[in-house]
Amino acid sequence: MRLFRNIFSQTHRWILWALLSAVFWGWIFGFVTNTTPAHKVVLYANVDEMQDKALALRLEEEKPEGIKMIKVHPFSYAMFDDGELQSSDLFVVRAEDVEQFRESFAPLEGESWDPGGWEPVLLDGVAYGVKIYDAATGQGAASEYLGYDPDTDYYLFFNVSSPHLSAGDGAALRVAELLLRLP
Amino acid sequence: METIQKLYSPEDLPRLEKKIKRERVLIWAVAGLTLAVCIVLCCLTDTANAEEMELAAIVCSTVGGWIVIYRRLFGLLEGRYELQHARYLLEETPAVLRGQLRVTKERLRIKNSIRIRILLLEDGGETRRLKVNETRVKALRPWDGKRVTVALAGGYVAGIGGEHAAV
Repeated sequence: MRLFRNIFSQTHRWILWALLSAVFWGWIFGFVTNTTPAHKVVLYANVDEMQDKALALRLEEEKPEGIKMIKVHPFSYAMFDDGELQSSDLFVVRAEDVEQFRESFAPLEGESWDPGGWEPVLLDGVAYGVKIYDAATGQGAASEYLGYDPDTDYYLFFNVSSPHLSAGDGAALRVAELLLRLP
Repeated sequence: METIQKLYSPEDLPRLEKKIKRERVLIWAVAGLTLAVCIVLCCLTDTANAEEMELAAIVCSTVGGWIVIYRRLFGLLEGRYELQHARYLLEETPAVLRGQLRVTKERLRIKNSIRIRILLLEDGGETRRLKVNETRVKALRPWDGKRVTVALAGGYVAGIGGEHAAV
């Protein structure tokens, strides 16, 4: 009886501690599950549904040398922080969003990579990415992980500020090649 | 001749000191163990299990913290307060009062001190309010409703006996 009276008399402390604990370990795990941009490749995909953890795990199975983590997020992950999106290496965007993000895309001239048979995307005559999902044929890369809207084309682009293009270690290009090979 | 039964004896002081020490060791052990488990969980984290590990760390630290808070409030601090109280009662020269004792359900909590239970002592139409450490109320139960002799130190009951008990 006394035990219960003691416990209920301190309810505010139990709640406060639980909240502090959640905030603190959330912050700590933010560090634990992250690394410097030089050691990670980040992919943001603007799809309806996605198996982000499963895709990250699959890509990490063949991660390029020098890369510790591959992170995959939906666009909604960055809804409160545009900086997150700016620090991405790869984007999967809907056809109608291309103009909105165009300034962030890197031209692929001079980049050494093999997009396989995927159709290149030309903006003003310059190749910027590939069509990763074709609504006309229903064919898409990594469609086991990325839930494409069947009525919209999707494109894969590289961030112009990514440190993992050919001028750097090329890791974003290797990850993109692997992504395009996934069923 | 019957004598007053004291609520605290000098032998209680080392016992209370030992209890405080035990509580302190327990608190540090739980806090250390909780932190160690959380660090191990951090070390075992990878992309596949990150969410589960974070949840496990939050649960572990929450429960560990609750135990630490509980033991500090109701073990360590109460032990310290009781030790201070026992020292005070043993140092004071008690006054003697006689009357019919009633143990009430009224409780008081003085900040940074023991929890108190209020007693009523009625004698010849006069009623006095006395205080006793709540953890010692059990010792007074057999005397509830009876005429008693009470040793009183600074308003606190330090001992109790039958109506004709000597101090």
